[in-house]
Amino acid sequence: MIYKKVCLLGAPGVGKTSLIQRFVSGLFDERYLVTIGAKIDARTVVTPSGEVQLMLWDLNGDEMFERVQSSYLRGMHGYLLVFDPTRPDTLEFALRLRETVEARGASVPSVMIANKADLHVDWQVSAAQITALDVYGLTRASAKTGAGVEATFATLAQLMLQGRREE
Amino acid sequence: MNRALPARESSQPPEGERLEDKQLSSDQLEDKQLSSDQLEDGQLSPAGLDELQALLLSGERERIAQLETLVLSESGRTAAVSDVLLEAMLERAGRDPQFARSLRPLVEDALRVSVKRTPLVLAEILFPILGPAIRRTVAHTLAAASASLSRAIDQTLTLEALRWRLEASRTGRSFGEIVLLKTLEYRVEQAYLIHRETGLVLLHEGVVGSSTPDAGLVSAMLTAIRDFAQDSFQTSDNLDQFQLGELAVHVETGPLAVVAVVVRGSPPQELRDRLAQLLEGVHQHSNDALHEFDGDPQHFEITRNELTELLVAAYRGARAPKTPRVTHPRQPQRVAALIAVIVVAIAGVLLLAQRERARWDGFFAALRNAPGIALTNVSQQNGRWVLEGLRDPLGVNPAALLEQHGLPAAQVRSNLRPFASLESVFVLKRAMIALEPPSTVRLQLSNDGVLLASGSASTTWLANAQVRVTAIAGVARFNLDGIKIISARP
Ligand SMILES: Nc1nc2c(ncn2[C@@H]2O[C@H](COP(=O)(O)OP(=O)(O)OP(=O)(O)O)[C@@H](O)[C@H]2O)c(=O)[nH]1
Ligand SMILES: [Mg+2]
Repeated sequence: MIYKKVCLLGAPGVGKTSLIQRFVSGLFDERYLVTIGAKIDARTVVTPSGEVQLMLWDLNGDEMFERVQSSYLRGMHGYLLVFDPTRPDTLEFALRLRETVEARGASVPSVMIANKADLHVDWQVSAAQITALDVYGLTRASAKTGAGVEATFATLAQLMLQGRREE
Repeated sequence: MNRALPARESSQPPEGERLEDKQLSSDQLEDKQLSSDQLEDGQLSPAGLDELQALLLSGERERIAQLETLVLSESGRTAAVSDVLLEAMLERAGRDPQFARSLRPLVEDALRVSVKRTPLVLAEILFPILGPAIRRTVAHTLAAASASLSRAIDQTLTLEALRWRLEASRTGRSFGEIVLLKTLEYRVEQAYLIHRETGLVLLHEGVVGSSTPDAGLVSAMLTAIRDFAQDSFQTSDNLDQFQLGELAVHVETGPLAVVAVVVRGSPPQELRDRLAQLLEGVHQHSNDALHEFDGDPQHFEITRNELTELLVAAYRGARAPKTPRVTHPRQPQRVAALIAVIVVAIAGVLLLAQRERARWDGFFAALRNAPGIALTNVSQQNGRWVLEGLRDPLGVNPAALLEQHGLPAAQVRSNLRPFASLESVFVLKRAMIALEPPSTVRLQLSNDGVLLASGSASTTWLANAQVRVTAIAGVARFNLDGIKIISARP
């Protein structure tokens, strides 16, 4: 079995915990329970390049920039950058976060997620803006309906395994 | 003019009375206006008006001045609001759920600022809450493995174990717990080799079925706990031991890898030395693999045996098993074999008892169903079954029934009293005996007790039968219409 450390990064309340919960246990909770510290879950995914167990580190968005500086990101193999298009500031937050992570020299595969796709009508980010994010491997997902969740994690898993091949 | 009234104002009335008082004076005012109208053709002189104003409003003026300082000066406002702030908040919160919601961003911001400025303060506040929560999670994950451990020990069948079992039921603790308490000095139950940078598990060994706790999760959590402690308290010390209920986690940290063991009881210092030794070895022979580790722990299999050797246990007392490793497969197997023999023996005895019991049950059931027997009670006296009830002498013989069921007749005493059953079979049987019909006669009994004879018979038999039939219990009438009379042979 191959293991990979994956961190979920993004502003508070964008749905990091919800995405993990949907992916690991297939559940969704309307309540917003702020994550404190770090919570870790695990799930195995099968990709064309083989099986991999993802160790999913769920960090609290509240202290995200502190977290990014801290030991929690140490050795991660990939990360998911989550934002909530109903709140444009979370996109800004995500982009700044991405810069910070890259600046630390952690050049690992990542996927950007526009979460809450079920609330599409309430999205405050323009279609053009969204399209521009394609360079970051943008995917649309909804932790609530489960749409796009499996695919997103699978994409990241595949990217991480490919990265390993190329080395 | 009535001057008696304003005189009251000069002596300040107590607070509660003011409102009432004011009302009273305006009532009076109306009265006065009325009386004034009457006095000077509906007109008051200017001097009179002033006087009246001063008279009536001097108290009010003072109060307005007071109110002005209260409302217009900042210190006044602050003092006034601070008097009722808490009460007002409570009241509002009580009737308006929106209130708490509106406060939330403020509180959150305050927390955020506090975290930024003085993280240590908040960490210190949170650690007592968070620490136990994290530890509970890990302890819970590990508990499953520990439970099956106790089961392996469950199987020792000594006199001592019996005593412990009694103690267990007396104290309400599990048997395994008692055994561990009595004999165990320490036991290394789980061992993890963890990649330091990623917190990913390289190897895991546990005393029972290594898959029971998710090694990957435990190792990541251990790493997170240590990260948390390190970040929160900004110490360079590595958290090298912490307690999870009855279990302790001992951690030895190297530059590239970490080895952690979960221990029950108090291990000797020697264990630490062994952890350090293993870690040094790993850093030596797998240095490159540790540097290049990318999630595939295959390479570290070469260390598995060493890790397994960490799983040691020490027991107190001479009778306790002396095996150095709990995973040793032969010990549980031998015990299992012994158990199996005992179980088979017990099962055999039980099975035999069960069979015999079933045979007796079969016999009693047959007896109850047998025609001509009315069983009223079955009891056991001095190891013998005693049957009570009624039995038609023409009915089944219990002794024969016993033999049929392969049961010893000596074990049954029959106290059955004779009676004449009115079941048609018995009535017919009795009729056959009493009437001795020739082979040409057929006897039948109808539901209402009419005995029907048909066929052919001699007049002699007919005559005899008509007399004898009266003695047969259960026959109401005798119908001979179906008999053809044949003359007796010469
Ligand atoms: N409609 C909708 N709501 C969502 C979705 N994902 C998350 N939410 C809701 O958004 C809120 C926040 O979700 P969380 O998963 O707790 O957010 P988080 O990013 O983990 O937040 P922090 O732990 O504070 O960093 C919750 O009330 C969720 O129910 C989604 O796809 N659709
Ligand atoms: Mg969360």
